[in-house]
Amino acid sequence: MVAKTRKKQEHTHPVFSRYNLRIHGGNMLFMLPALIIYIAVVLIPFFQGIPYSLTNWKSIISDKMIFVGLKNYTTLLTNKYFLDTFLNTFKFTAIYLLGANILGLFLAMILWRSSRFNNIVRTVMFMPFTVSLVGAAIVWSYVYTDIISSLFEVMSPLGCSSQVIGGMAVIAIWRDMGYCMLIYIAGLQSIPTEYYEAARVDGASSFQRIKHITLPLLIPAFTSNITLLLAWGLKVFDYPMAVARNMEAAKTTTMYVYDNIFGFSKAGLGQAAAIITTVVLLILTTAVSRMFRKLEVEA
Amino acid sequence: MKKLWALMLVGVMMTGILTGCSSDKTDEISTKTETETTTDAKSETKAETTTEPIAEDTDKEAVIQVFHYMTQETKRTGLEAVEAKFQEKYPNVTFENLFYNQGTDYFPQLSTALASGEQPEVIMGNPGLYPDLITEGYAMDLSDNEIVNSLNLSSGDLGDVSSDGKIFGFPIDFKTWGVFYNVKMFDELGLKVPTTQTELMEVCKKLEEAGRDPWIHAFADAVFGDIEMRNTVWTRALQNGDNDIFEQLMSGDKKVTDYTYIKEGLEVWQERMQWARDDAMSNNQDKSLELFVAGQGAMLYTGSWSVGDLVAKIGDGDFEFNFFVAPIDDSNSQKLNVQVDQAFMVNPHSEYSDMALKFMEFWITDGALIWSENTQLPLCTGVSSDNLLPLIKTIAEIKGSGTISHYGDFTKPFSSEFTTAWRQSLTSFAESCVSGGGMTPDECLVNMQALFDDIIATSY
Amino acid sequence: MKNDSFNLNNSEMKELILKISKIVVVIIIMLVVLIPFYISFNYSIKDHTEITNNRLALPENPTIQNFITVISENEQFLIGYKNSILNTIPTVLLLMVITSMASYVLARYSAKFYQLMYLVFIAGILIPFQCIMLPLYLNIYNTGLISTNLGFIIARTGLQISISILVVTGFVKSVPRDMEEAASIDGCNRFQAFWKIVFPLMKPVNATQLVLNTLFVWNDYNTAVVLLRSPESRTLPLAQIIYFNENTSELNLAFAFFGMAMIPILILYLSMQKHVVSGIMAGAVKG
Repeated sequence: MVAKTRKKQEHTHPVFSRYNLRIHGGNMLFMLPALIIYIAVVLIPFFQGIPYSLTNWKSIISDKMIFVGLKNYTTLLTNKYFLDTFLNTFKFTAIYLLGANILGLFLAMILWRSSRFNNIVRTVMFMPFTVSLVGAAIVWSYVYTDIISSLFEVMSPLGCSSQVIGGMAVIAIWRDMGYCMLIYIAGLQSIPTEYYEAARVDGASSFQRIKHITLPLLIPAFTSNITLLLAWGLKVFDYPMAVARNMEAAKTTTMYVYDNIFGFSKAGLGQAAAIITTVVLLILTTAVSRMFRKLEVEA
Repeated sequence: MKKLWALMLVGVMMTGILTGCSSDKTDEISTKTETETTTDAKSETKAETTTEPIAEDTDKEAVIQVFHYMTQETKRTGLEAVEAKFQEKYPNVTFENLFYNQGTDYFPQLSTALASGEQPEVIMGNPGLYPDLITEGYAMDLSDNEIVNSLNLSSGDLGDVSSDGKIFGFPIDFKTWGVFYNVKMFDELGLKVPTTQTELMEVCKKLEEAGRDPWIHAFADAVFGDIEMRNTVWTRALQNGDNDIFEQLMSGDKKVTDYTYIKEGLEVWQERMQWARDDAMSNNQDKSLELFVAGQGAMLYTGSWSVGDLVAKIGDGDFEFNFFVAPIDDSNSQKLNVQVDQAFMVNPHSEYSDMALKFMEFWITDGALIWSENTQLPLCTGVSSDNLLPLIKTIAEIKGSGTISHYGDFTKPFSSEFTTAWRQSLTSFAESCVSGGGMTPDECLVNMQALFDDIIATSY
Repeated sequence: MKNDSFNLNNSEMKELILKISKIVVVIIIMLVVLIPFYISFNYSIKDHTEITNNRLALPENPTIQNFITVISENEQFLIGYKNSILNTIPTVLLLMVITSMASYVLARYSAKFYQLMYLVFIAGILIPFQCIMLPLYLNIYNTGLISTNLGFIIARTGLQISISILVVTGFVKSVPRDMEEAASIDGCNRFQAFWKIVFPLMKPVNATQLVLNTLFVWNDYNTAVVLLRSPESRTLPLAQIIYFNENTSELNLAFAFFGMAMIPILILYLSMQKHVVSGIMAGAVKG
């Protein structure tokens, strides 16, 4: 996500010169308001949670807890049901990520030039993104039962273990593909048209033009979309909570966390599951964005 | 201007962090024990004051916070009606009703509130289902409460609001479940209400031959699989004296296969599911009622709680329904299942717990009928009036006769984690039956036991 | 029209067919995307019996009664509307100020320290809310800000900072730096230079984050349900609970509510549409 960093002049002065102190001090002041609120609201609560993951803390209304070391972590990492929730989450994320990006890219390629028609279509495509996650899930549960089921004589995917993940992914794709589309449109508009003209003069087919010009130059947009959707996908919570609360096949990792902390009196275990989830997310997104940054440099 | 404002916010936040950090766990514990002792002292003095004439504190000011999960409008109207009636007697009492969805937010929100030291006066829920509230002392021991003891409630009603032999809640009304059927459709085809499993199967076959769907199901709500099993499991367990079945399963001392009637229940249910429609898994309660009223199916296995919605859906329409307890075998051994529905605990740590106690005592006695007439829910005390639907009165009469299987007669109810596991495996079984997946009852039991074993293994 | 197309040569013909097929595909996708909106709107203008009898067809007697019922009978609706507005506007403005300042620094300086700070900020996207829900609640409670607008604004701002910084930092990299340098020569200090020169240049991306943040904050359920407890402090998404719960039976009211809750953000989006596209574009591509 961090762009190629340009060489800048700020290091022409000695590190501890008055100039540097003034600059970096000033910089700190610029970042301070955001940093303080961010630390207070996100980081401190996150670190406050870690000690609890090392205990057998049962209920959050109880003070009783015994230090159990890493037992919660070893239990979870060898637990079939917890690992299953990861599998469900990964499945969801894969379908959602691919679906939203492919559709978003496809739409962007058709709609990237500004025209009245294209602007209207773009607006319509972005509209689902204004709907809340829970709202989207509930409306779609009716789309499935009232429209899809009655038109095609099939069961609603939300009532079927083998399809429920796909059914939820469709909702998420519907909601977020407009966002992906906008990012890709932005990317496409930034590609200088001369590149295409040159390629055309050289006799490149449209497929070759896409492969050798469009896709490489879209890599920053890919990075941005894939990282963000990866994080959203792996944190998915509202969809299964709203429309597939009782299906084992739809249980995601964050639901496992939520149930254990708040519903099942296993707050310590749930907190450990939350931390494992965060670490997995961190590793995956870092890996993905590294990969794309490498591609970016090569391109 | 904006900058100034941002800086102010930052300042507030900084103090927030500081105070937030300084109150570490030991502080919290000590303040907690302090409040405990003071409230204990308070409740002792209260015990004395309650013996004095009521007139003395009718003008006392109090704010009663009621934490509940009654999202249905009729229930909230009922609650407000009871509160209004109570306020006629105690004009200086005001109410603050907080409600959340039970399945998603209720207990998490309640426990975060309690964890931070907020103290609602009245907490909705069956004490057995929320054992942490009991162990942490958030429910007043009502074992010696004169009003509760004077009502001659059945052992089951009291059992449903008890934990370790002590009463912790006020049982207001109860629920039951069974088969709601389309009376006209039955009459048209000359069908009689079945009393045995064979008769029920005959009815289903005749309906099918007449081109009707015998059943509407709503398995998207997991409780609907659960209630189809309870008729067999509760009745058989209580017959066999297995009052500790849930306790034994939760401790791991017994396996689900040790109780043969769990499998029997699955088989009886499986027979009924032969006629399941394609939408059985995706219908929720609302959709199922709608389909039922539209005449899409002759029978609907649902709970007494949906009677109100059912009546609302019918409106001025020309639809008649009635109810029978689903047979579980051919020797007519089915019994009406009964479980306390709305139950409320009084939080002894709360500021106005004395007034809250009075409010609950009022609700279960003088206020009960107002509640029942508003909500069409049958009262545990057996009191009823002509303003109740005939069906509700009939259910109350059956309960009064005592031929029932009451959840409260079990030593312990399933914890929420076991309930979730139980329902998840039932939902998978239902799905397999509906879609022809071929899962056998034995396989269902293997899954269920594996889930149970996992719960036990992760409890330490 | 027909005559013209006969006169076209082969490659022009191909192009035309391609163009038409593209439009057809786009219109089909657009219709699919609109189905859920059709359902919600359709339900919200039907009365109860019409939904039960015929769910999909357009109503014979469209009614606005559902909207009136929601406004007049759901006492949480107007309070929720008021609170949602009172919470969303400050949160979004606060975010705009603080994240544009922070992003400016994060985009302009590439030393290891700033890269690290950027990663720290972005890491917030990865933390599941359920993981910090309880400690956050306890901290806000200890400051006495539970059920207050201020408490919600601070919390929601903190939770939104990561995405905002992700969007804005990328954009700032595209703002030419010579302009601030010129300003500093003119005797402006850096704060003045930022507010006078850089901040106005960030208009497109600020429009974008304004819309995105409004969407997130306006629709927020998870934070609101934890932090806003008292009935008079609750926001709009919390008032939905009456209609979207385990026992929903008032679909028409539910969808009427749903529609009315969406109106302000749809208006905001439509009025900012042009800026949003250009803002996201700049942010994403350079990011």
